[in-house]
Amino acid sequence: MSEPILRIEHLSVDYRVGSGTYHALRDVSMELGRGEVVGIVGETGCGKSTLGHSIPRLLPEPPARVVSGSVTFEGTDLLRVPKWKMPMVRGTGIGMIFQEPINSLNPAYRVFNQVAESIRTRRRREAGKEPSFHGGEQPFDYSGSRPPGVSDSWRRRLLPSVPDAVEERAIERAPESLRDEVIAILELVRINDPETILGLFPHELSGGMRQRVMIAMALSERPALLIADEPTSALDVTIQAQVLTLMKELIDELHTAILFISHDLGVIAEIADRVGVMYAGALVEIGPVDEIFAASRHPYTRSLLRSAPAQYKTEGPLPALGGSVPNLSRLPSGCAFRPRCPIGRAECEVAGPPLAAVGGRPDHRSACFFPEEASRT
Amino acid sequence: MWANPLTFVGFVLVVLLCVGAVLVAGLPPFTHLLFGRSYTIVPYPLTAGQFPPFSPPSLAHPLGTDNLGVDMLSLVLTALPLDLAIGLSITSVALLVGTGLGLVAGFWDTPRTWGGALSVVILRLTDIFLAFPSLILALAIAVSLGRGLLPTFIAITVTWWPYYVRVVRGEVLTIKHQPYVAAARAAGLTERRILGRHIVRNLIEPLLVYFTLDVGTVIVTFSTISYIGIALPPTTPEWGSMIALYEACCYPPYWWTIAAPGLAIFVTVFAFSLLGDGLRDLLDPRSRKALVESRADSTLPQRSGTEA
Repeated sequence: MSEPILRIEHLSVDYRVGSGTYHALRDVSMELGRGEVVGIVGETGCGKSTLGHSIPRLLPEPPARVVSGSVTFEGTDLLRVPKWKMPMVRGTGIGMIFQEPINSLNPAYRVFNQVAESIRTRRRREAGKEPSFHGGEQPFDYSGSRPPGVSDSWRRRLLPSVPDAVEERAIERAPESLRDEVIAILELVRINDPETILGLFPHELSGGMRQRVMIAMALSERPALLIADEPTSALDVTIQAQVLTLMKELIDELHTAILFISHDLGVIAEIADRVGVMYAGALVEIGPVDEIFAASRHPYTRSLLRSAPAQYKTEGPLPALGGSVPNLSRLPSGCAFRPRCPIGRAECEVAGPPLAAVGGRPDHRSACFFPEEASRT
Repeated sequence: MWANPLTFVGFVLVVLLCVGAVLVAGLPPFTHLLFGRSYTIVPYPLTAGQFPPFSPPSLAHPLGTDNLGVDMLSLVLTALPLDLAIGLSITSVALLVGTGLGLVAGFWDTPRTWGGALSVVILRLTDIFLAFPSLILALAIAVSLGRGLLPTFIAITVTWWPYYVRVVRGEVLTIKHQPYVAAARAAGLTERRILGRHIVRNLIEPLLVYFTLDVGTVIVTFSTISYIGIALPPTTPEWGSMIALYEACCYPPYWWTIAAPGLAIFVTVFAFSLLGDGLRDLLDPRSRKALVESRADSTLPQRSGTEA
């Protein structure tokens, strides 16, 4: 296997809110290969979104704070990149799709302008008019604590070099080709009638259409890695299925690496190659999708699977996991899942179990002291 | 525009007032363009004794005449350019200053940064100004600068910008926590572009509404100050000082002498309020949609067929 596009190592993130410190991510390590789709599942408040947002460093700091670890994207540790350089990585390097399609489009712009903005950003970068980061070839320059000053750009404004300005306009605007490209990208996300959609405002679109436009915007920058933060959770079931089908088709067409965050096991099973299960800010199990669903070796994963309404059984209530995720500022000692665990023992309270290979497979790892016992629960 | 007749009335009135002000002032570029020569719509010159004093409102003198026999309509119209210019210019200056400071205070408000420190300074300064009743403060500043038009202008402007800082900062704080700003950041836009393309763009509508509503308030404030006699010598045609003048010499029993400038202030302020209220509905894309759909049959194309 070649060098992974994304490697997260020992990433810990805290939220400092008022009196308490919430350990939102605890020592998360994972890898994402090129063109691979990794799903992240877990209950609400177990750090899925924090993980997704911490990769392109979109967490609000403060209150969030990266305590330790590294996020290596295309060989560059993003956590060491100066903050003002991060925009170069976002969009064309790491794209993102958000949960709320209702508010994720600017209400003031028509669809054309929303999508065109992303395309313009990419064009500026591809033409070298704006610094961008593609990674791979040249080592990233970590130095330079000073952003290109306001004075520089003012000088450029005041004494514009005419050919430069014309060229930049041409690259950004190029009206016909821009329009064609917007239509093409809207067709890519299976919008039937892109011409009419172009002139509409976001509030005139349905939820599914908005999410398609969002996906189109993210894809139009041709990111090497796409982070989808619960892209289907806010949608109706039917629309959810359509968007999911769309994403599956796009995965086959584009070979983009995707980190797909969802609390819906069914969605993950459909789309992911590998699955990571998170609990209380930590990765408790990670492995190939069929392995996780068929032969999970962590009691938390097993109870998640049991409580999913997969078979639509009519008799009896769904088996639910008792209790709730522990308060992230006052985690129990040892294994965080211990208080709710059906097989937990006294020794689980002494130290947390490491994420270790189980079942004789190096790619299936579980953070449980009793993986074989867990697989029988 | 047609969905709300009151907005239309406000719009027409504001346009009439502005065009009227230009014509009254006889600004050569405009009147030459229209009439080929300097032109004014003031019906009679303001010379004393050409009409009988204290004629009540009639067809010849819709607003009557004053103690010197000057036509009140001509007098009120003569004051129009001054009052309108004062209202628009003070509001504009306050808008520009307040918006600039409000953007800084709202967008770069992270604690323990230079921007954060700057925004604290801006906000505390704003608080200091807002702690005083603005009219009293404006009066005090105008008097201490020496009475006159320019000191009054400066005084009102100085007391007016803090409101814009408040409005803009509040809006910026709302907008910058919207998911679409986060989405723009995730799409790789720099902070400067986010400020320009997303924050400022969404500020335009509320600011335009606030601005329009505010013009009337500034005119009232200015008239109040000149009514007290601080802004202008009482002989200058200005609505506030006219009321003061005629109250001293003629009010009981000749009511029309103060009704005329009062009516002028009322119409102007009312026009801007109507327009501002209507703009609020028109400029928000969502309520614009509601307005369009509230009409009998929607002319919008069907557009939901793509989901199936």
